[in-house]
Amino acid sequence: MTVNAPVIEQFRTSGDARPESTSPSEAGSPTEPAPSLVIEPPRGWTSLNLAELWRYRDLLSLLIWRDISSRYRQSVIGYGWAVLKPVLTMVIFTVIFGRVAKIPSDGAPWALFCFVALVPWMYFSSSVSSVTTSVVQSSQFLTKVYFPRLVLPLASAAVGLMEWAVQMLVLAVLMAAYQVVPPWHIVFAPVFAVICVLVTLAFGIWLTALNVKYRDVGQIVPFLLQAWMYLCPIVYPISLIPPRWRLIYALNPMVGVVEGFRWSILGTSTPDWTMMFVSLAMVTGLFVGGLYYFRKTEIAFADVI
Amino acid sequence: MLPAVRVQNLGKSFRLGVTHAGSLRELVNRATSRLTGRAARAASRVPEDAGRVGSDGLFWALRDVSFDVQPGQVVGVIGRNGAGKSTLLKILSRITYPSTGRVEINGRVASLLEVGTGFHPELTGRENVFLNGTILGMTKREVARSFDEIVAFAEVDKFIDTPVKRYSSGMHVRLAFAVAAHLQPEILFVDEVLAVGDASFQQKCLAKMSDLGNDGRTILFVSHNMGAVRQLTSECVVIHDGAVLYRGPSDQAVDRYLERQRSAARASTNVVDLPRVRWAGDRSVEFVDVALRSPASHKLTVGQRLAVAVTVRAKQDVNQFGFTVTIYTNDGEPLATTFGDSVGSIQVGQSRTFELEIPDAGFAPGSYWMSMAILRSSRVVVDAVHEVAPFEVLPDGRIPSGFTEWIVNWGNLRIPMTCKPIDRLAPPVEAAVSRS
Repeated sequence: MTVNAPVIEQFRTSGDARPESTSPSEAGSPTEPAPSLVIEPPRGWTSLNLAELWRYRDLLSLLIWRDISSRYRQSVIGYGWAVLKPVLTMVIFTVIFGRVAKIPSDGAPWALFCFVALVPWMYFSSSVSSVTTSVVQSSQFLTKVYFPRLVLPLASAAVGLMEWAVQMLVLAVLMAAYQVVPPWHIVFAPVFAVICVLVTLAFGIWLTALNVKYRDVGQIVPFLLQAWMYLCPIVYPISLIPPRWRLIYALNPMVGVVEGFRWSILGTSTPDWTMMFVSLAMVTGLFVGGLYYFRKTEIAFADVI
Repeated sequence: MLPAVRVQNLGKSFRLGVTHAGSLRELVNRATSRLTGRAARAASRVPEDAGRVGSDGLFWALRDVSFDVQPGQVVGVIGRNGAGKSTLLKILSRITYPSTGRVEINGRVASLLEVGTGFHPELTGRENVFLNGTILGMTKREVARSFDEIVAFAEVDKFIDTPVKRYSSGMHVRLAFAVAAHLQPEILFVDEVLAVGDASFQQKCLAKMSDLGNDGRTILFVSHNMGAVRQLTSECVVIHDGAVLYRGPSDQAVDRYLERQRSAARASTNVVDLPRVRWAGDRSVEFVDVALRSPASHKLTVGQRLAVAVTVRAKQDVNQFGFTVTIYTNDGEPLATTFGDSVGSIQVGQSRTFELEIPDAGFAPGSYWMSMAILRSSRVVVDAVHEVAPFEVLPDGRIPSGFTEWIVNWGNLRIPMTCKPIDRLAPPVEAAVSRS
């Protein structure tokens, strides 16, 4: 009987609800408020709808936090990997490019010269890869629930900042070891970090939207990143580039980021500000264009994915 | 008063013959076929739905769907697989966009197409509750407010700080449903999420849904479970081939829906061309025709026998063969199986007809269908057909007083029982048997 009790009760409650809920509504009053949500086929320009993105900020922060806290779970060294990866890369590069190839380093200690550039670069390369796959990887909830899809690449781009922060501590230790005092313009370092995130998103948002439709994008990005690294002044100073090629060289927005970040922390050669401005303008255009492209295509993500 | 949900002339089309997720090769193929004027190879993929493919080669998953849902109504959406129910729900949930038409929604809306969306195995139950809650559209504060209730409802309090990868599947589902059940929307769209978990938990979910309905929430409930639909909803929309077939009180709607299925089945009892299930055999003896003879109306009353006329044809000489029948509930759950004796032999090219009879087996009111197999000699399946001879068992006067229908949770069989007063406890029956 105890088993049946809830059944009977539940049956009665739903039965009682019937007559009331089937009653037709009154005729609409003359001043009907606008519906709170209208779903229509997409047409024309879509707005970026940043207000909606703001409403979902809790989801954004939880996604960031989920990835940060789950990234190194069930790993012995955990965030030690965020230290080991750039440090080992630095050691290898210092030996090969510094000792063997004897590439100049603008007067800074080679290890430091290389590490300062590796920090923003490693953020960029790992984040572009993860942002590119962010939408496709979340396909299981993309097809099950609505939320502004832009949350996914944004969260992916933010996750790497945690490793960046850890690496800055390592950088501080290295600088102390080499007894290098940072110049006053270290205050600009955060500006270049912000630009680096912007560059990452500018490329990542395009790539992740394209990757939904053409999975080839996800395949080619890691390869491109590998080649891309040698197009940035990481294992060599910008002074090695012949002046007449520099303008073309600066079209790579990571050149400005790496060079500027290094300048603000180590006080190496002052960047060319016009070049910097050109690449920043280009990145901003790419970023805004990417946002619109993403918004325009996101409505079909669930159908295409 | 404004309707909570107003759907107007809603349509959704897909291009056939073109895979949605593409590679560069498909892009090139499409470009070249456009250049050469070759039409896209279409319509071959969904042959049974040829009527839904327009002259433009578009497949209409939904076409011209219109209905209103008033605030506080609990409305069911029913229809067979592929009818367009899920597409409708996805449009309402803004997961995908309509191709034509318009939907107006008044009120805070949440939709539940799956339980546990975004659960991360490495995170603890607590962490996942917050994550899942925000994915479903709650703020962190809202989740925190109902957190204790969620944990209590899911009955996982001891494990709430354990990673969910260590949860049993039952705990996983319970926690996931609990989060969803504590969303506080004015309008809720729910897909077949109740088809998970064990029976007692399903009952708890149904009760929770019913509570939400009684609280004045507007609910659109998509389901195959006719029992749950009848219990929970006051009205139903029947979707058939992408269009609204009927809108009205749930009982009539469910009847219409089942009627439609039966008439589709009755229109042709010829089963030669029916697609066979994977394990169907070599068809050395095959089903040609399966028709329900009793009850001819497909409506069975209690005490009535069930009889099916089966015509088979042989492609080889077969010495011994027999039939086996499994009865399925409308939800696709096998309910009972019977194995017939051998019916003799058959020569190549010969056709024979048999009547298979099942006496009143005590099926509860509801709808059922059969799957049948032909067995040769010793348990070798030579042919099998699925979803044939659908029938409905009508409710009768023997439903307990106070109820108008058979409740799903009572099961699908009504077994006989006698109750008689006894003076003193008789010795156990087994003892008496062993002595004789």
